[in-house]
Amino acid sequence: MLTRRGFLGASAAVMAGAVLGCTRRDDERSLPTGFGDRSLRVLNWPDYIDADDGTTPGTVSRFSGETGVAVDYVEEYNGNEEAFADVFEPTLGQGDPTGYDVVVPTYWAVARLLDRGWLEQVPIERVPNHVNIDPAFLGMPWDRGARYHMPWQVGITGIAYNPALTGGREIRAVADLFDPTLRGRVGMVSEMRETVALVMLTQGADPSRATVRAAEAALDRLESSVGDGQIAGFTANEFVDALQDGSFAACLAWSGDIIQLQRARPDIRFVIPVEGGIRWFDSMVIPRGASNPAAAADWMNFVYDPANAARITEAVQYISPVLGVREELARAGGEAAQLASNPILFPDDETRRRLYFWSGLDADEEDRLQERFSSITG
Amino acid sequence: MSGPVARLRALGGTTPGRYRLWSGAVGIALVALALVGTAAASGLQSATDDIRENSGPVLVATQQLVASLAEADAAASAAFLSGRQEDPEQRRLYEEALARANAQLEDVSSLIGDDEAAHQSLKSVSVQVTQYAGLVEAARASNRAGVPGGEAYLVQALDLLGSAVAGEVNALTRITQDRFGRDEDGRDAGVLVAAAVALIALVTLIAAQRSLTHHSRRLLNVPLVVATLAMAVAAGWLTIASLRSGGDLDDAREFGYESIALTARIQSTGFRAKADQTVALITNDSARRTSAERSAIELISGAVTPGDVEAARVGDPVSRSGLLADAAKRADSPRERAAVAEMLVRWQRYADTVGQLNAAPTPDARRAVAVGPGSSTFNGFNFSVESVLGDNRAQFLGGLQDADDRLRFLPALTLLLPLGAAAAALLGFQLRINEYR
Repeated sequence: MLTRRGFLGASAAVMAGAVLGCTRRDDERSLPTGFGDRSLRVLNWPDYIDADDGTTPGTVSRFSGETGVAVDYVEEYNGNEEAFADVFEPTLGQGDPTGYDVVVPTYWAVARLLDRGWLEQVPIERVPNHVNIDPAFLGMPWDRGARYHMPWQVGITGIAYNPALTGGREIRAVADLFDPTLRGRVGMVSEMRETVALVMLTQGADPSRATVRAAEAALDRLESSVGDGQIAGFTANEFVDALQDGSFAACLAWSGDIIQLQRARPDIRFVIPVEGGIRWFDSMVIPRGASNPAAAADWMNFVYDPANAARITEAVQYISPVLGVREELARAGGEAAQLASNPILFPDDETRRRLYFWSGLDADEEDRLQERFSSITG
Repeated sequence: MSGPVARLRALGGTTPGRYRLWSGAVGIALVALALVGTAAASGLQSATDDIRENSGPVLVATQQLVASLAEADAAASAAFLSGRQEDPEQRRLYEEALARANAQLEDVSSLIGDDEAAHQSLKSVSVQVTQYAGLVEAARASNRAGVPGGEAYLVQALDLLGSAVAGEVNALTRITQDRFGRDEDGRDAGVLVAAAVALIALVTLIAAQRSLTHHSRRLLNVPLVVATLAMAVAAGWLTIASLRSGGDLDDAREFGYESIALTARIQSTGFRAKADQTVALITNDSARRTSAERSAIELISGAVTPGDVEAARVGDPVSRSGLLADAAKRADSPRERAAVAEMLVRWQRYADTVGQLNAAPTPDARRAVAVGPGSSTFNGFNFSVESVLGDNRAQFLGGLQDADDRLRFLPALTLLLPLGAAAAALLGFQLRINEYR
């Protein structure tokens, strides 16, 4: 199983290989040719869209069929830090285009790109479905009204556990993960912002107003828990395997991966901790100098049609930021209709109130925290 | 006195003498034009700078203050209605909006200059915003502790913002608008004087040219023609730059600021509808509900249909009246029209939740609608309005920048061209005088 987040924790060697591959392709494609005005280049995370399936065309094929735009859909966005180092800095940092018309970074990376002036405005005059953005994503302090980004998919970082391995005990809080009875069988995610934010919540700090002091206190706790063997490891979506093979009894986990896992392992549970969960999202942006912003706008409009967005949700099983998707899934019937009543995919208002975005620190402060986090995770 | 007059008469008695008199008169006229023109250009540039850096941004900041306070209040109400388990997102929005309002108060204060009335209004607003924040915190503390009285604090807070603060902010808006108007009107005073001097210099040059033609029997004196052209360029440049820069300011005011004012009014009217709806929900006061409905009608006179949205998007008239319909009329680019269409859609979504709220059978059910879809859809509307406000602000400040850019080289040109013209004219006369030696 390999999902949008599957690549985040990949080994350095694999990452280096992927990055090199990406760089070579960027070099080859720095001057887009071949498709003229009817082409679109999208850079997204791997396995983050519905692919062609036998006779059923996926979103990319249907978009091409309906608009006549040839899409070069590249699934090589392997991490935000890597994208900055290997795609954005060498091109946008030098005033050159990336060669892509749409890129899908995580929200905090979008804020950095925007801060550096590396994004084009979304041509909303070509995106009537802009009205379908869930209002929860319109109030980002770095882009109020979503003029520079359109969210792609949304996830929740919460707790997954195997009740058979916790002795039948329910795990309801992040604080439970620090219980000595689980020593050596607890996992955390390798995304600094999410792990630190969830530990901050156990300490009464609000990650949506993060401070260096509160984050350092959370890192202190993580450091001592690694030192005394409470935490077995920090992973990307390898937690899926660890839960299945029993090396993790409980861990921090990403909602979409667990919903997919639950098809085969309905005994694995996913909870939003009582302290609160962490919400994140990846967002479509148009990098500065994109050669075909009009096609980018058409693409954004297409995937913000609730019917099209519902098909993506059905495939990737993350929360959709598109209004109307739930109704579309319910209408579709069968497995899709079951998704419509999944509380993780469609959290109710009370649950939403317990979800936090990481926010409040500047890029330099986050870089310093990331450095310390990396030294703890090894 | 008779000495200089006699010398001038003696000088005028000979042809070279007359040329010297003409060259003196032309030189004086052109140097005067250089001085007056430079002063006028500098004054024009300085006044435009002042509008760009001061009275323009203060107008924008005042309107944004209205919008921020409206947003703070809508979020505070939603956070309160969410009960003991406060909605952290609404609380975050409240804190951010209040922080923005305070920052905008500081901006206005630093830009307002020494206008006593403005400072007085600003001080009142500042005090009232502090009182307002105190009432919101008191309501929040009671709510979280589960003790009664919180609702009364919130109603007081809403009323304070809706009446006293809104009144003072309106007064501040009028003061800043007057100041903008005064600065704009005062820009051109120096240019009129410079234009008069330029006219005198032009007449002098033409008369001198005619005199030379008459006495030398040569059709043209090339240096004098060059001087006349240079002077005409200087005067023309000053006049055209002044007019076009004024046109940019008018455009900025008409297309940028008037849009800002309309958008801010849309936001505060929407907020008033939401706030009254909240108070009606808390107190069951039917007068408040009526007031909320009135505000809603002020925004748009009926339910927004897909046809209205499409009309707004393509620039056709919207079938309803109200502030949102006015915004649709005013939108003059596809992007602006798309933004107005989005406001219409998102307002109707909020209006639909008000219908659900009114139809809900129990107070708890009503509160659930208000806290859930009510807050969410209102936030959607509010953010869409705010992004339009941001676009309007960029358009307005861009227009002021254009007005300033038009004047970039004007002071140097109005100094150098007349001085160059003076030098050319003196050369032209000297060439004729030399023919008599």
